Amino acid sequence: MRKKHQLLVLTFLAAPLCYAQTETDTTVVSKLEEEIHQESSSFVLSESQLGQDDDQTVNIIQVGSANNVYTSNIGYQWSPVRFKFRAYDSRYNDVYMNGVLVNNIENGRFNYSTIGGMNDATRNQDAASPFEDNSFSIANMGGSNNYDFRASLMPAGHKVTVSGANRNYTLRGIYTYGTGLTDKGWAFFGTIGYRWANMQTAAVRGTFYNSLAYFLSVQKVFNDKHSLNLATWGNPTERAQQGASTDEAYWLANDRQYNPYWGYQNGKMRSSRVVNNFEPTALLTWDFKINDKMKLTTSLIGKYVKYSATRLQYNDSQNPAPDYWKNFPSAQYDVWDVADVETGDEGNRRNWDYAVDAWQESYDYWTRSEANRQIDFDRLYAANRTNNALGKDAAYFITARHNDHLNFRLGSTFDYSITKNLKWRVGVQLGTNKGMHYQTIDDMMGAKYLSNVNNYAIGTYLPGSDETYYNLYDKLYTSPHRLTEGDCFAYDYSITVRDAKAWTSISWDKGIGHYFASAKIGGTDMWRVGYMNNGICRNYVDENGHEVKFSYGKSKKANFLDGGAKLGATFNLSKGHGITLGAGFETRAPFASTAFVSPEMNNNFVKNLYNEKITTAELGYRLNNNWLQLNVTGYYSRTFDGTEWQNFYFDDVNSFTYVSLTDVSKSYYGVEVGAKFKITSSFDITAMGTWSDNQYNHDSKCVYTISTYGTEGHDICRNKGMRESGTPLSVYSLALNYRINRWYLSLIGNYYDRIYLSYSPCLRYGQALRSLNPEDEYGIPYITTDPVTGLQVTNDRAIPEQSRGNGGFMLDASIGKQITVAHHPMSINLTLTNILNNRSICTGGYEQSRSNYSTNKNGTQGNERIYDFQKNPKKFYAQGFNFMLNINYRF
Amino acid sequence: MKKSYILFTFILGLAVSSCQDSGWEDDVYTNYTIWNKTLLEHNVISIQELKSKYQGYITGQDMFAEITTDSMLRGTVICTDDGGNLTQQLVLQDGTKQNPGFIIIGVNMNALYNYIQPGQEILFSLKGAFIGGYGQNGQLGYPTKNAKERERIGRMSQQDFWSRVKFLGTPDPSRIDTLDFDAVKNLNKDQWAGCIVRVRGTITTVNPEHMVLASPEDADDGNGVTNTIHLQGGGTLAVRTSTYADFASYPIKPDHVYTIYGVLSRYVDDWQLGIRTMSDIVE
Repeated sequence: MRKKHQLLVLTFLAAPLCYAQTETDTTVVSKLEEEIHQESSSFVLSESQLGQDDDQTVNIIQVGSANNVYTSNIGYQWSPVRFKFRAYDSRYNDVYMNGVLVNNIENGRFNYSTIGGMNDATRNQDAASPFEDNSFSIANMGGSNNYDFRASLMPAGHKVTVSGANRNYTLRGIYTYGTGLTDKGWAFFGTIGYRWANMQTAAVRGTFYNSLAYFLSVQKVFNDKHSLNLATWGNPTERAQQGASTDEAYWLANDRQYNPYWGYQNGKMRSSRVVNNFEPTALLTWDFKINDKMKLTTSLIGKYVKYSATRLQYNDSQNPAPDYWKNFPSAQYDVWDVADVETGDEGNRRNWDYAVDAWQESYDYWTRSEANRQIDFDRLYAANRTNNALGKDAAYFITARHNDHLNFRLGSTFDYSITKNLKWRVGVQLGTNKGMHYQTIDDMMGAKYLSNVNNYAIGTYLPGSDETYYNLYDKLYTSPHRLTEGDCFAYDYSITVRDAKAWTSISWDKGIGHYFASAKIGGTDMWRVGYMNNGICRNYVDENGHEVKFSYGKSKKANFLDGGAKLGATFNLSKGHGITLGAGFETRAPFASTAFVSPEMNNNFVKNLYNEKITTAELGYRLNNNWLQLNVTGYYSRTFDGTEWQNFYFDDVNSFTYVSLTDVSKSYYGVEVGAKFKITSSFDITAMGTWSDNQYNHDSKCVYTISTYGTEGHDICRNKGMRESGTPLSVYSLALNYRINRWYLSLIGNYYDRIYLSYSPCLRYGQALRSLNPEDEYGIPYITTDPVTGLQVTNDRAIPEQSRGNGGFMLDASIGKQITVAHHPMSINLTLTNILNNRSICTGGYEQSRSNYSTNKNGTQGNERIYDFQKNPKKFYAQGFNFMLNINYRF
Repeated sequence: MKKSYILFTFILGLAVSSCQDSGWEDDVYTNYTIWNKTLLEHNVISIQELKSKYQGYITGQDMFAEITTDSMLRGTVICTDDGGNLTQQLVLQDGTKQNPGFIIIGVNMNALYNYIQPGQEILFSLKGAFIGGYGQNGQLGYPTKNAKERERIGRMSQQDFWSRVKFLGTPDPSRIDTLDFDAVKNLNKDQWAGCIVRVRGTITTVNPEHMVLASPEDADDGNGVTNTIHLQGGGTLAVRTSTYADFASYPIKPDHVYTIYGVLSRYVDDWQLGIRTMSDIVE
């Protein structure tokens, strides 16, 4: 027994020791290259959440299948523009850690920023593309990754990394230490890192970054059958966000990174949007090698998520955003419809000399000083002082929106190698998550008073009426003006989700083929508990004398049963040719984040809430020979019965609105090509490209709630043909890679195109279109009369086209070198991104959710505004030239 | 191993010491003023003098003029947009109780009342401002064309407004005179439009089915509802309320005698009352 133990220990020991001591030039350089790739992609991944609450869906899928030139490179090469694999939402990508699924149960997404700053701990990962069978799961439509956090697999020795960049953070330091597996069967690995930028050094003005990361893993190998590993990590982070703005604002500021979220307070820069995030996590893994053919891996993960994001609120006062539409010059003069002498077009007849002067005055104000185009905090404090004197509620204050979670998951996989060519796996994933969502007062900004009152409802309801209270119990049991910093404001609820999934997969080799078949089944239930009795949606007693818990208390429970199956095959033809194909169908329970109509207000589930159905298929060709590695893949996916949800401030009705889209159906299709040409032993060229498309197949049903009334409106959203946003749908790139004498050099050219912005559903409500009756490019209105039948018909060409952003060319380069210092290796690498300083590439954004007409209180169309919202979507642009210098030293 | 401790301590020290969004004190910004500290009082004229000079522009149809002389007004703000009924306007009064002057100032800014309180005495620099008539009420502002392309006096930008204003002392609501409507109803509208009055009477709504001050269903093109006060002393007075006013849904009791305060403005040849806040209605 003891001998076996020693052999096992020796086996475990071999990996890190080999890693540390037997490197050739080739392996050194390829490791360096891999390191550069990982540094670059993980940098962007960890930054990718910066705008997550800004009405844009920044979500990233990391697909890193090493068998495919395309998927193994896209994370690194295309991350500067937030490229999304096949334009899928990241909820279609599953992330595992030691075999347990870690996507957020409530919204289905994995937040990569939670593993930022601990790069040395996340290098061991197993990635599977959508039709690759693997040892931990059935790969999701957007692929799956499994991070291996076992301490014995981490490299032994010390490592220090120091980095400098002109990106979202300026400096980074990481220290890592690993023991490898000792002869007593213990392994320890730890890393601690810190990333930092302040408002003076961050590439985007008004942002900062302050993040500590730690990771500790300890493993005990008891014998050749059993091993236990405990890993714990977290990265308490405080960071300021960047906001999207309009092209007009970027032009006025002469800066495509203009950030409207900050301003001056007493001469100091202050951000209104600060995110605080800390997710301490513990992962316990038990590896049980039953015999040479059977293995059981079981992991239990628990984490507590503390997440808050601040926001400047205004209460019965002027919107303090510096890029509020009324502040722009184009709100004074219609720059989109000017008179044209040549054509005789007289333009907007409201354009006159006084409008020109007003435009100029506004332009001068914007451009006179930076402070004029940022938030004037001093002024907001002054407003609160006035209100203090009048005994009135705060005009301005900062709230923190909290999304805390307590999450536990158990994942277990049984792996059975029945024969050399036949493998069977079966697994279960059990999870429970309580999401706690509430808003607190973060800073009263000098105000003395604030009531937990819905000021937007005042007018519709009288001040002091039940409907205006966010929590009726405040009215009953407390005095007005009771809130202070730290108190809950506006909403407080939790959502609990439990799920249980079982899956199985069998794979076998026969002849030239490798085949797999897999299937899964699962159940999910969810419910909401409200902790505020919202005045508009207050609990009531129905005609049978039963209390209906409309907003306060526990909702009904929703249950879903889902499942699916997947088949795939790979045929290895002669001379390196190969074909892969796969097809799958599954149903997925809706995520709790989309299942409630207006969770901030009440317990109502969305009507027509069904499992989403997904069909997907893929056909690939590969060629692998001495000089060429080629992958060509075509795919088609179609989803049905999906549910989407969003909330935003809808200026047209002076109210927050919650919008649920149901009966959502989308198609995704495209082709991906990756080719690596080995020109010499030290020089290769990688060419990659994708052309993809995705569209809503038909219009969706929509339910919206306006928070000032609390009633639900039903309509059709004319979103047929809309596309996924925030990612280029066409990308073409060429990379030259050169390796010699422990140098690594690469030059990459990428061309990005077809970037869409997030469409606004409310501009495409059927009722809104009928009311506004917009015209198409030929002047034909949305509602027309059929000349033959005389019936009213709709002209779909008049539905607003989805806004787009510019693509463009970006040139990037990397240079790396490994040297020896005091007999230990030191590697230095420099990544240069956007060398040509192309600042016009849009990385995402969204249409503004309001119309060009004012809306009367009775819902009728008011006057046309001079400002054109449809021509002023809010956008993000890729950063100009930026770099990252990374030095690490192992000893 | 010692090196490890040093590095660990260094990194931890950096992290712990550098929380960046903190230390925002509440009371250190009291020197800030939104108004223009640099204005010096000079060439002060009365509101009546100003209105007399531009009387034709105030009462004429869609007329306005730029004030070219370097002069100032010195007066007290007697009404702001608090309550949401008067939108983006305030009323300035000067003169004496017996011989006052009133003028509206239109500002393209929501919630002016967050910055300026009734009873605040101010200096207002006139040069470069525009003057015209808003329903024949004198108004300072900036020319605008509405959606129907009608040229008229509108609102000045907030930057322009605050650059013209200097606060004098602190707000003193006792400077605001409230008059009985009976005492002013027969006086010269050119002079007295803008004063604060008190009336007593019953209210009938424009639509008897909607017994509230301003139901959206009854709104006219200007998003307002005009109801009628039946004065106790006889006669009637129009009371106009915006559907966006905080008290738009104020319930009206039939035949109930209310005491109502508000700004008296003119609607061409008639008087019209504008309630400022809900506390202007006393049951």
